[in-house]
Amino acid sequence: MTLPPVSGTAAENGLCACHVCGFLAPVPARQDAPDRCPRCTALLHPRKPNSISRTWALVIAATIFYFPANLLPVTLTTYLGQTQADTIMSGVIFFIQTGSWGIALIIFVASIVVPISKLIALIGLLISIQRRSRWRPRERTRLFRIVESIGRWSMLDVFVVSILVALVRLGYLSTIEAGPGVIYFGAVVILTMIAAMTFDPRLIWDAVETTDDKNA
Amino acid sequence: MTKTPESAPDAQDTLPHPLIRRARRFPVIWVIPLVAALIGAGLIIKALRETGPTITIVFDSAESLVPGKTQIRYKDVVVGDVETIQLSDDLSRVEVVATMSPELTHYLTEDAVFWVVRARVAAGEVTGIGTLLSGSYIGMEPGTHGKKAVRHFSGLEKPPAVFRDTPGQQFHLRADRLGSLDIGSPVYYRQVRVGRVSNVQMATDGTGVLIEIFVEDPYHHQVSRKTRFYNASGLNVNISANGLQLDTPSVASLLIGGISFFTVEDAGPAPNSAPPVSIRPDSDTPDSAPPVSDTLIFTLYDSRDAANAASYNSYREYYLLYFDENVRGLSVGAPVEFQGIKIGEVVSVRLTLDQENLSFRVPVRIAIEPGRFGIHEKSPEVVRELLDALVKRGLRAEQRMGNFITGQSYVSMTFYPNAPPKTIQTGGPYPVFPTMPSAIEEVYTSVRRIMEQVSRLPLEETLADIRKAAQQVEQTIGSDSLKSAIENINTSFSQFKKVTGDLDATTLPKINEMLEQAKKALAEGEVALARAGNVMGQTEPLVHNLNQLLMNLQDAVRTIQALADYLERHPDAIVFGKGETP
Repeated sequence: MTLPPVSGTAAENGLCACHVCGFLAPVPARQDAPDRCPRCTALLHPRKPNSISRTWALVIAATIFYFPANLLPVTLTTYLGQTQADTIMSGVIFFIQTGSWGIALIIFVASIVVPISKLIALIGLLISIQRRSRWRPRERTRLFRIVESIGRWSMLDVFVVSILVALVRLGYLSTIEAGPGVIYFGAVVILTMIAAMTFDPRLIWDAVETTDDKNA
Repeated sequence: MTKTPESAPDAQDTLPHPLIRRARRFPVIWVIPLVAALIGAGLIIKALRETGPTITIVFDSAESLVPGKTQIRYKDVVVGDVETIQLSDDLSRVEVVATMSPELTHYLTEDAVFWVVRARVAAGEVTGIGTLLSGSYIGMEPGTHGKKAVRHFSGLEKPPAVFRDTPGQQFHLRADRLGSLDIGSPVYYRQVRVGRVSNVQMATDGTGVLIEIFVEDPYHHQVSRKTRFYNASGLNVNISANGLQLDTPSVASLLIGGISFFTVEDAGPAPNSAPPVSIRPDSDTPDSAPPVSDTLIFTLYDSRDAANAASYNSYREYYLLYFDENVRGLSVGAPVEFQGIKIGEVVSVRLTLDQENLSFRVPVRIAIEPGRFGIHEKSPEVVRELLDALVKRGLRAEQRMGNFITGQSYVSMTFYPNAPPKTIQTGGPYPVFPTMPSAIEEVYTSVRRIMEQVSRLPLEETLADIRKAAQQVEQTIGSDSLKSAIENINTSFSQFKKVTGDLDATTLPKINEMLEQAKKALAEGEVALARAGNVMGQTEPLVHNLNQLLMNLQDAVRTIQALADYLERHPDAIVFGKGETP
């Protein structure tokens, strides 16, 4: 199969790439009866189906969970019979007060800055796409890449808590238990990761392309 | 680029449009935010339901209270959390803001009590040891349901001594001084701990201390209007005309103080005289022991004796005594006795100078309690009349030495039927009771009288008589029969001397000689022994035998020496034998 001289995007040429193996195939005729990739038999979509709506749903769910994740305690430290509940922020404050600026910074960035910036970034991207914004598509794509790549690092806090819970089991002397906040925090991280996956960055460029067409 | 979509329009135009029913399915993905929203709403509702009222408790200090950590507990159940701790506006106190659990909302009324539970090591008890490890918490006693709801409380630094739900009864005492009592000090009845001091405060006029005690359930029935409370704390050492008195309660109350009470079997009028308003009209019936009303204030006596004596304190008559003698040892509180029984006490001892006559007088004011000798009328006239009659029959007051070691004296009322007649003089602020000079003063005077008599004795004549008697004795001695008797005795003495003199001259030197020889032999034996020891060595049995022999010899010599000594001292022993008891 010899490809014709190419100009414009694949979509303009009636082609779409398989999401799995990257095979260029003709765009399926109907949305509700999609074709399968001739090479890997994965479903073929020109764009990820319902990308905006799914991402919105996940982002909203993550935003809701973000509040209990930060307000509820993540660790319940029992030291000599006295139980102390710590939220993420109180842990950060504790490390600042004890002078461990480095650890405080790591926890603060990984557990507070990253999730919230992810959420803000995703919401911003979604709104910009729905408004068919043509503003700085390249930077927005880069922002998406960053969101996608740092997402997993937010699980740091969850890992720390689970390791602590497993390690500190000294009976009456000292025990650490995971608080309810960890579950919500984990939910936020996972939901934002999935949201980043369902988001189709090509939509950023669609607006640019279509308006280009209109202008042309 | 020839594809089916391009040829389709024709067919679509010609053919009737198929009914394309877009499945208006609810996209599954939106279940996730819906669930999230439900969970979130659930959390919010839970948080709202679990959040009770926010209250402010004011403490003197926030020692060991940590915002966000310290809990508020009732019966060791967590009912609240300290949120913030801040200083009051004038920096004098600490305001603790706490959120309480909602079920306590109706019990946060004006009589709710808060205090800080810390490890406390007070005399007699150790509490809150658990807080050493777990940190302190705020204890609370919920208020009464239905009273005015309050959100501002002032916290106590110590736990209340008595909890509201403890069965028992509260009593009010009044004392001059607090002594070693404090909140929490025990209350004893027959040395059984039945309650504790729940509150201590100064009387509003500053003239005394008001003490609230709480007596627990089965024992509060023991308290009646006839109950006397006394301070059982500490050691009571009392040196008075009665001698040295040492009153020791149980060791525990010796250390930490306490209040004890007893109920008098047969008291006179009600002793608890404090505010007369509180005494109910039926209190005069002598035999009933009516329950104690809340307003009655008992007197807290300093000691059991004081409480015992208190039954007569209700009514006193004051008299002045003028002593023209040394009143050293007569102190305030010294008893006034009649035939050894206390009927009153000395109230004041002063010294006054009569400026016109330049004479000193010592007015001693005494209080006589007529109740002590069975007169319960509380009218001065009756008592005065009675005392007047007694004075006519010779009743006088005098100062007596009560205790010769301590020098304390007391006032004794004694009948002197032969005393010059006197009466009770009225006119001054107090009636003046006639006095007699004290016994010691009397001793001085009688000794002086004896000396005067001695000086008036006919000494010259007596001496002449004695001389005459002596001459008569001389004459008797000078008679012949006496002389011959004495001569006889003299001769028998000289004979006896001769016998003993012989003994001295002959026997003793011989014994001495014998001794010398024995000594010499002994010395020689010793020398020989030493030589033998050198020759044969110490291990030989012979040496041992010789040593023993030598010792035996020494013993023998010692015995002979003793005999010689004895003979030297008692030469007659050779004739009469050694006496049984020399």
